[in-house]
Amino acid sequence: MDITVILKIALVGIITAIAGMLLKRAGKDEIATVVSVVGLIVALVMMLDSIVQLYDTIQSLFDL
Amino acid sequence: MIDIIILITCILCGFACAKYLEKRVRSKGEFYNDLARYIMLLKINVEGRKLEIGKFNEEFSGQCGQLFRNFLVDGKIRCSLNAMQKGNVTNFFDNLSCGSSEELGKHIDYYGVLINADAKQVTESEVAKASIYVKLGILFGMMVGIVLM
Repeated sequence: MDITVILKIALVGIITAIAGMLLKRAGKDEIATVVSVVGLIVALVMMLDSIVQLYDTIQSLFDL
Repeated sequence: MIDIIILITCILCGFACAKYLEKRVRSKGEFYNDLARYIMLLKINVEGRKLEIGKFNEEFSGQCGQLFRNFLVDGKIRCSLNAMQKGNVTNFFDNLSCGSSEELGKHIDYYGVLINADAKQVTESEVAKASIYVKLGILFGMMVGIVLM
């Protein structure tokens, strides 16, 4: 697994946190929640490839 | 190298979109400031100078922003107002032809209070927080750039 994926996910997390904080300070709590959820989904999509690889590895390892 | 170009392009696109949104919000604030001033000067005109409405509009057009000037010319509101705000502005201008100056004065007073309240709400909640759009635009541009890298 490439280290750049981990760095990208970390950066997306930091950006989501900062955006959420800015929106909360502006009084837009609902939009801050939506932004947090979107950030989470983006991070999951970025990890999707690795999760599929993990699943295939487990499948081949245990002959499932 | 390509990755960095994509990241910078996405950040610039985010910044540009945010600047456009900020400009729209600030122009809405400017529209409301001009409208509030218009109502105040119209009230003074009704009580004092008694200029005909067409001449008054012509005089005011020379001292207001582009958005309000265009509105006085063709009656089209070119900024994003909610239904209640649009209703207040439309009802004010549609009923300016009253029977007497007393009636017109009451009409101006009534809608003046409503529109000033809308103007205060727009200035305090939207225009004051417009600077946040640029920061968010850059952040979201950065996020998209990172995903595309």
